Formats: sequence, structure tokens, C-alpha cells
Amino acid sequence: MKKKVNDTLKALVFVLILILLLTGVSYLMMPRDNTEQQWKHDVSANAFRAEPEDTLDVLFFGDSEVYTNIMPLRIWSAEGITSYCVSSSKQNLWYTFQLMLDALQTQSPKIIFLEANAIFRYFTMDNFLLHGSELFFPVLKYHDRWKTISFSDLTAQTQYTYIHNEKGYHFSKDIDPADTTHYGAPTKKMKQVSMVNRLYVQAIKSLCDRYHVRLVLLSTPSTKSWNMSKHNSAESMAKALGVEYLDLNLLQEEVPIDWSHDTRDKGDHLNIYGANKVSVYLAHYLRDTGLFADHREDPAYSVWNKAVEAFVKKHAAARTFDWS
Amino acid sequence: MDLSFLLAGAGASMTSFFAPTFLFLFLPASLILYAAVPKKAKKYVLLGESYLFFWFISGALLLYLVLSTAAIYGFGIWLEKIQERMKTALKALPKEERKAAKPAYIHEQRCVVTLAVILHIGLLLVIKYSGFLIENVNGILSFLNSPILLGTPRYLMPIGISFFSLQAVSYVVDVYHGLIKADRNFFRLALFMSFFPQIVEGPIVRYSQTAEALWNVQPIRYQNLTMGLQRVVYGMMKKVVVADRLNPLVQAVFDQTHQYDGGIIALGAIAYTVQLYMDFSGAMDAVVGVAQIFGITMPENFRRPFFSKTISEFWMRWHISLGSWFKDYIFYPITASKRMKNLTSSARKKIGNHFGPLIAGSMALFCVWFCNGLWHGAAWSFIFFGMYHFVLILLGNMIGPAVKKVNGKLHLRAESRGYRYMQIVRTAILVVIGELFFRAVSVQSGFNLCGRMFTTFSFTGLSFDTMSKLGIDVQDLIIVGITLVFVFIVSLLNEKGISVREKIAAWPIVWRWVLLYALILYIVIFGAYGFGYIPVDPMYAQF
Repeated sequence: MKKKVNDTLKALVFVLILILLLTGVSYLMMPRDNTEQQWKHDVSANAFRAEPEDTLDVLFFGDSEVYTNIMPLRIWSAEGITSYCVSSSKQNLWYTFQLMLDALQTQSPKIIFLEANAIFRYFTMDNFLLHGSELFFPVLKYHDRWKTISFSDLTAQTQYTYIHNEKGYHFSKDIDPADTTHYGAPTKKMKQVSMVNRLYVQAIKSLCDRYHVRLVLLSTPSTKSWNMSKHNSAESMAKALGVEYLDLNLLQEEVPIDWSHDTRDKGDHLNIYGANKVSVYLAHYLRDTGLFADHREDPAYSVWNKAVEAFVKKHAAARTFDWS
Repeated sequence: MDLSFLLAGAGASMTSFFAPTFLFLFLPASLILYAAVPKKAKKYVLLGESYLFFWFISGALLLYLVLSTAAIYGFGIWLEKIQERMKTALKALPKEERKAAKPAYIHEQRCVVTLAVILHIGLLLVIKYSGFLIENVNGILSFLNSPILLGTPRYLMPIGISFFSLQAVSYVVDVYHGLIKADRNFFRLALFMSFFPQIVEGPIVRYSQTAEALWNVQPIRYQNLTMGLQRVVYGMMKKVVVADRLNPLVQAVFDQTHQYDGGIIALGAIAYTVQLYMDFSGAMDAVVGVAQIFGITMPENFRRPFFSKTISEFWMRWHISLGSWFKDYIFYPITASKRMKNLTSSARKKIGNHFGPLIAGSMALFCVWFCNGLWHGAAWSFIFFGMYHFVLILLGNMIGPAVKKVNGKLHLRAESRGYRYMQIVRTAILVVIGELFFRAVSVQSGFNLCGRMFTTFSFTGLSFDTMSKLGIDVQDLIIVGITLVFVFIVSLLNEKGISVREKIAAWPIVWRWVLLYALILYIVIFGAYGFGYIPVDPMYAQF
């Protein structure tokens, strides 16, 4: 009996020391800046970290449908509301959750949009366990930094310096028309959402509630990534969660996407012309909520006006439409 | 209420023993449940866990395993009944009549064994090879401008079928030979067939090796738990730090064959051989380690193969359980057959004592290596791989005396260190070439790669830019190098008969823990997983 107790104690002490070691190593391996050199992955999505505290009114999370279809600078120029696309290619909900958790440490958005495409993206139990553990032991996520880490990195204070001028938006002026034959074909079917994804959406809702943020499920226009079975499923999920579901694919009058001109890749993603239409609609939608003040004349937000100027100056395509 | 069919097949990633789902969910849950139940129930819990594991990785294909077990259960008892009838009948007969009466019973037994083999190997052939066969028939038909082409069937193949089918056959044949008694306990036989650590990648164990130990399972002991976990961590280092880190390089070289010159192809071939060894032997470390936690001693499947001086020695040290299965159930039955014995004795008279036995031996060897190649997969490159080793071993057998003579004339001592090193390096080179064909997408691609490896051998194209294309950088190579040196030192000590694990077990607890922490942190920091890496499935699970 005594041996059993001894052995159990030894095992517990071993695990405890291991947890301490992993915590210590995690601290050492954490990036000290959000520059490409240090962060390595999804730099534009992670550039929200360098935004001044509590300056972002709205955050958009999700996959490439977000960073191609939504232009935070256009929302700013239309209504003076600050927003950011915290989105990355094929973003999984575990990643959305991690990013959201981080964002809410420094920002106090009033609305968070979750692009519904992400809720249908299947990921394995392995991903769930590994990325869930990353929340406790960031070394599991940043371990590959051993390749570039310097001694001074180990002791340096964390300071995020990289600001993405386009606030997470990925510019494209390419035009590659879409075939819209089956776009929006009616169906009563509901695209299945995995059990793990349902749990994650629930966790995201709880996180928003904890920080008093309104969660909105959003579908941006796409002939490829969206269909009615996804709509039905997202609508039902939104209803169950008690949140709004905003499907821009069904608002073809309010968001008049010209699929022969406004898409960069045959309907999967929008180009700047389509993104402009979506962003203007979203700006008006946000204004109508009555939650936001117009910051355009506020000197504290003058960098946003400069960012718009720089963007328009840089991209000729951005000069083809009115920015007011 | 959709319960996603209770996760059938949802744990496909658990085929890797280093997948988080297996390591941090299934294994701990299994151990806790196993430890919690009374001793009498442990074996049933272990069987339930094994079936649950198979259900998670293969879903309804679990039926294959259950039916295979049921079939050999029946065949075993059937064989034993014939043997009992034979005994009783022979006893009742006068001595002089016994010899004449025996063949009928032997024939009956052979029919049963044949039926069992056809059922298992036949099923394996249909599921695994019918597509390949039809593809080749269609190739011939289209060459002959035939308007008719056969449809290619697609079967769902349960993971591990190549392993448990051979185990099933060995059980029936062993009962036939009287080496073991037929098991009248279905659950014991089922546990032998399904024990979850070994079902995916082997080793292919014999009934006499594990069945009893599995049935008489012991409570989890601290010593077994720590030693088993150490072995799992060591295997994880091989797989996650070395094998998975080399994967992008191997993929780039073998999938974009035209892009690289000989030096890089050679690097890719060596990297693949190292990757395969680290992946498979790492998985075997996990199998042995997990089994040890349950108090089961699994036979080793690797014995430091890269210390081999000849190809035949290599295959006695690499995937040992497969080699010994082929030896016991193909090579020996062929060479021991009456016809072959007659052939050997007449050949001895005609061509002497060295070459005489080689004829029958070569025929058996051909069958072994044809099957070995085919066992790895339904493709000509695998058959070529088998034939490559057949030719090398045959040549080794044939020219052995001549080499000895030449060595004598040149005053070369085969026991000298330099000669042994030369043999080890030569064997390693031959192995690497064989693995190049094994990994190549086709035999033609293998020849193309091999040809360019020798004709355009140079490292002039190796730059930082090329390395970036190959998905690897200098730091990756340094970490792989350091880890391989570590594995080499452990292997060298083991080769010298020093048990590293026993030595470490004798250290004071502080040093043991320091080593284990260092190893775990080494894997955590230098492992190829997470962001930027694609998980690599266990390489032998696909065979």
C-alpha cells in the first residue's frame, strides 16, 4: 500500500514538474513581436495586436471569405466605424477561438462577426486536442521559433509593432467571372456541422457573452463557398444560439454583386469592386445598430484617414469608386 | 439526435500512436479503465478496448476482424477434431496398418488448412490486389485494341488487414503442425488477434508468443508504466523529430523527379530510408512500450538493421516478424516438400554441395520475395523491390565461396574491422537503392531516379533556394543529424550487448527524470508538428 502511495506521489510530482517546465518554455518561445520574422503565420490577421487598445469597434473572424470580401477601410470611410479582418486562409474554429480570445484581451468591440463558412470546416480530434493544449502551453504552437530565436529574444519584453495598413483586407483587382447557374438553388437540406464545431461555436458565443459583445453570424457573397444548405444550417444554428444571422447572398438588391465583374476567382472570392459593395452595406448595417460613434473627425483616429489615403493612392482600382 | 454513428471511423488518425487522440485520450482512458476493474475482468476490458480502437479507426470494417477470428476459431477446432479422430483411429489399428491409414487424415487436415488459407489470403488478394490485377489486364486488352475493358472494383480495406490476416494463417498452420492446441476460448483468440497496440503495424505475432500472456494480464505496475512510457517517448522522438521532419524533402524529391540532379536524388533516397526506419521502428517502440505498460512483452521487430553486413542479415534485423513469417510459412514448407527434397538431392550429385541445395532454396526464396514485395502493396514497384532483394540474396549465396577465395588471395580478413565496415556501408547503399525503388511512384520512375543518381551525381545544384524548394533548411538537417547521432549511440551500445534502458533504470531518480524531461522537451521544441506541418500517417499502416 505504502509503495502504491509512493508511486502515485512520484507520478504526480513528475507531471507537475513537466507542467512547470512546459509553462516556462512556453514563455521563452512566445513571439515578442507580431512582425513576419517573429510571427511567421497569418501576419495580417495577427496585426490587430499592434492596434492601440480599445480602438476597434468591430471584428470580423473567419476564412478567406472575410479578408477578400470585407474592406475595413471602406467601412471606415463610409461611416467612421473601425473594424478589422482577423481572418486567415481556411480558418478553423479552434483558431478563430484562439484569435478571438487574444483580441478580446486588448480590444472591446461591440460586435463580432463570424463568417459562417468556418463552421462547416471539419477538423480532426487531433487538431482539437493539440490546438486546445496550445492555449495552456503556447510552446506547442510556437515551438518552431527555435530556428530564428536569439538570446535577446528570450529576455525581451513583448511589444507588437507591425500594423497592417489595410486592416486585414487582402487586395485584388483581378476579374474572373463566375458561373451562377446553381447559385442560390433552393433546398431544404441542411449542411451537417460536426459535434466539435458545434461545441466551438457555443464556446465562441459564451466568450462573446463574457465580454458583452454581440455575436453575428455572417455569410458574405460567394457562388462557390456558399449554398442554401449552408444557409439553412447556419440559420438554424443562429436561432439556437439566439444570435442574428446575416446572409448577404440573399440580399442581392442591397448588395448587388455583378458576378461577371466583382469576383477575382470565378465566384469564390470577391475582388475590390465586390468588396466595396459588401463593405458599404456592412457600414450602413453597423450604423443602423446605433451602437457606434462616427470617429472620422476624431483626431485620435486620424491614422485611419491616413490609411485610407495611402490605400487609395497605392491602388488605382480603389480610385474607380467613391470613398465617401 | 445524430450521434455521428458513435464515432465509427472518426479516430482514423489514431493509426498513429503519436497522434494526440491516441496518446492523450484513448490510451489514458484505456489504462484508467483497465486499472479500475477487478483482475478477472481485465482481459475482457482489454478485448473491449481493442475492438473499440478498431471501431474508431475502421468503423464497420471491424466485421472483417471479427469474422476472421470466428473463422480461425472454427478451423482450429475442426483441425483438432480431425487430429483427435486420427489418434483414436490409429490407436485402434494394428501397428502395420497405421502408416497406410494416416495419409487420409493428413489429407483431410490439409484441406482444412487450405480452406483457411484461401479464405484469408484469398480475401486479402481480392481486397488488396484485384484492382491492380484488373488494371494490368486492361493494359493488355487496350494494347490488343480490345473494345472491352474490365471495371475496377473498389473495396473498403480495413486498416491492419495485411497484419492480422498473416496472424490468422499462422494460428491455423501452427494448430495443423501440432505446435499449439486449438483455442476453445473465443475471447482469448479474439484478444490475440485484436490487441490494439499491434493491430495497425504489427508486429505479426504468433499465438504461442502472446495469447497466454494477454489472457493472464496483470495489474499495471509502476515499473512497467515508467519503462513503457520511456519507450513510447523514445519512439516519438524518432517519428516526430526525424521521420516527419524529413517528409517534405522526400516528397519533393520523389514527386518532382525531373527537377533534381543525382546528388539531391541520393540525398532524397537516403532521407527516405532514414524516414522509413525512424517512422516504422518508432511506431514499434510505441507498440512495445504500450504493451509493456499492460505487462505484455512484445517481440522486437527491429534489431539495429543498419549494422548488417549482408542483405540477408539486414532482413533478419528489419521487420523481423514479417521475415520470420515468410520463412516459416513459405520458405520452409517449400524447401521441405518432397519434390524439392528430391530436387536437392539429385542436384547435389550433379553440381555439388554448394550449388545443389541452392536450386530448391532459390525457388523458395523467389516465392518469399515475390510475396514480400506484393505484401507491401499492389504495384509493380513493390514487386520489383521484392525481386531486387531476391537477386541480391541469391547472388550473395552463389558467390559466397568465390568471394572467400578472392579474399584469401588478396589477404583480406573478413573479420577485420575495415572489412566489416566496408560490408556495412555496402549493405546500406544497396538498401538505400532498394528503398528508392520502393518509394518511387513506378518502376520506370525508380529506374529514372536511379540512373540520374549515378549519371548526374553532383551537389552543385544544392543551394539555399533548392533547399527551400525541398521544404527543408539547414536547421532541420542539424536537428535530424543530432537526433540520428543520439539514436546511433543508443543502437551501438545495444549492439555491444549493453542494455541502455537497464543502465538508465539503475540511475538515481533525479537523473532519470532529467533525461526524460530533456527528451520530452526536445520533442516538444524540435518536433515537426503543428503550424506549417502536415501530419504524416504511419508509413507501414498503409501496407
